[in-house]
Amino acid sequence: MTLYALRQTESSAGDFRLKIDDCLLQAGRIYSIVGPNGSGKTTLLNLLAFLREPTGGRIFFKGNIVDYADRAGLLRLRRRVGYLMQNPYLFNMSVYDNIAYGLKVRAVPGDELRARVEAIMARLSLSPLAKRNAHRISGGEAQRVALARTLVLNAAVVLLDEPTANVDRASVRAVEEAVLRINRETNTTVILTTHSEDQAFRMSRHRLCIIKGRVSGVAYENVFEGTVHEASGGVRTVVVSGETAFTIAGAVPGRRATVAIDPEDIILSENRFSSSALNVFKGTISRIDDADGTVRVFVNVGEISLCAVLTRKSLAAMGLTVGRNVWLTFKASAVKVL
Amino acid sequence: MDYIFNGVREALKIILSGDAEFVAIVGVSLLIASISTTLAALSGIPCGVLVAHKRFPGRDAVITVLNTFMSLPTVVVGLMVYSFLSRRGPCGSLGLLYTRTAMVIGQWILAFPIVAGLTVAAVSGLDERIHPTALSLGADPAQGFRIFLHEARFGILAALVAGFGRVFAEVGVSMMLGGNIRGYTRNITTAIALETSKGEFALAIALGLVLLSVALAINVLFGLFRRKSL
Repeated sequence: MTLYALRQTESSAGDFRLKIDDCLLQAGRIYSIVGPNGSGKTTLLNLLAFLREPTGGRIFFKGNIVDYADRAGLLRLRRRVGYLMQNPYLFNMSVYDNIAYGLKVRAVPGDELRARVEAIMARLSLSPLAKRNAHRISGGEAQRVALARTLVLNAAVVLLDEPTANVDRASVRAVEEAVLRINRETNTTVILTTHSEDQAFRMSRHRLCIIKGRVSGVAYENVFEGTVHEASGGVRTVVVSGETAFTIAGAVPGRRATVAIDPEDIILSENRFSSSALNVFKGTISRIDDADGTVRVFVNVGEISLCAVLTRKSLAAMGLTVGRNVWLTFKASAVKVL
Repeated sequence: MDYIFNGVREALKIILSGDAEFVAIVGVSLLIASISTTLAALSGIPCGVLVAHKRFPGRDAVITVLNTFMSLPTVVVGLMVYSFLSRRGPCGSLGLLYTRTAMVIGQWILAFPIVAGLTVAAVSGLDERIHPTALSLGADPAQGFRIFLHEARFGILAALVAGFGRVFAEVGVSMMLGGNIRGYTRNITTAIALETSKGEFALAIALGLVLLSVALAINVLFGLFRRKSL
């Protein structure tokens, strides 16, 4: 069933404009939205949470057009969505009361409220913190409280805006597991934004990419942002982090650019080989994902992580394992400037 | 100096014996100040939250006016309300001058800018994510408003304490609008002024001690709430 349908939907604020020509989101799935900072991920989630009225076009929820003039109807819609905002705020009250807040505003009866809050606290290992003031807990704990506050609502759809940004690794795992579980057990639709392609692949099979306010069903991968430099001989590079720079074919020097490299265009090799390709990097394999017959190999290069796609056969032939050093080679033309 | 010591000794006697006139005077002060502070809370807190939360033309001017009126001279308020309530004034037919109602009106005008202004400060200092968070969790507009009160509760309590302190200790409005009628509108401050002018220091000192202890309590509470609100 189609949960959301966005038709020619636009949202502008100041110079920024988000434009979605046509986008359908199906119920029961987990979607991840990837894209660089400022690309419009949060704006899109605010639209899906009915907190922001589009400046153009229409949004349908379960086949019904959303009427922004109908305040009561809009409130009912908002109450069907659980939304974990980026960098969430916890109210100056106990952890328990924070988690119970959304149920209280929905006038959920006392016994049911207690049972639901206690169940979600147990699931996210928050029970010992129940009585603590939410302003006096650690960052990772706060993120779990915010997630519990969203999941306890048993909403039709859960929107998560960078749910694991700024939390420790243990909390990342707890958050991801809780989200996957709620999707599995109650078939709740989950739409999450993330910076991390690793996370996008771990969490979902359905990925949307959003770049400069344009949503694309094609999920660009290996998306980076950096400043374009011109070196001698007219060679242009984009510096994406500290020492890592990609040689590119286009773009204006001095400007910021967002680039993407198709994982299919990256050649993995055990040894450096001579070729016309200008981008050659050495890295360490951090993870190998085997899904849908293709294998995604994630390689840490300096501070960034690049993903390359192999067939199962070549993986077996090369005998690649996590921790091995490999060479990555790709042409300047493989670096798409978005 | 002796008459001061004698005055203090007599004052303590008056306080400890629960002298009827003394109790009546303190009662009037507490009653009028409580009613006017309650009215200032009912009007000033919503007003303060709205001013802090909404962006509208002239908002800065409203805040400036509120801040200026926080230190409104009490005799000016007394004069303003007097001119309206006196027999020749536009509301003269209501016969409110020299009544407790007139005192409440005057004190409400004194307390309102304090409660509203300090509420603006308390709510403005709150995290910007509070309202979107409440909405994202399904709050309706009224629930969204209440969460502001909840998050700013210590700042708002401090505003109420400051408003109460202001009206409890003022003399201009009570004198000009209440008329210092014994057993009816005579409160602590007007009684002190009268007793002192009569040379009756004992009752004046006793009342002064009450005023001081209330002021002390108010300052302790105000400091406590301020610290908690930060």
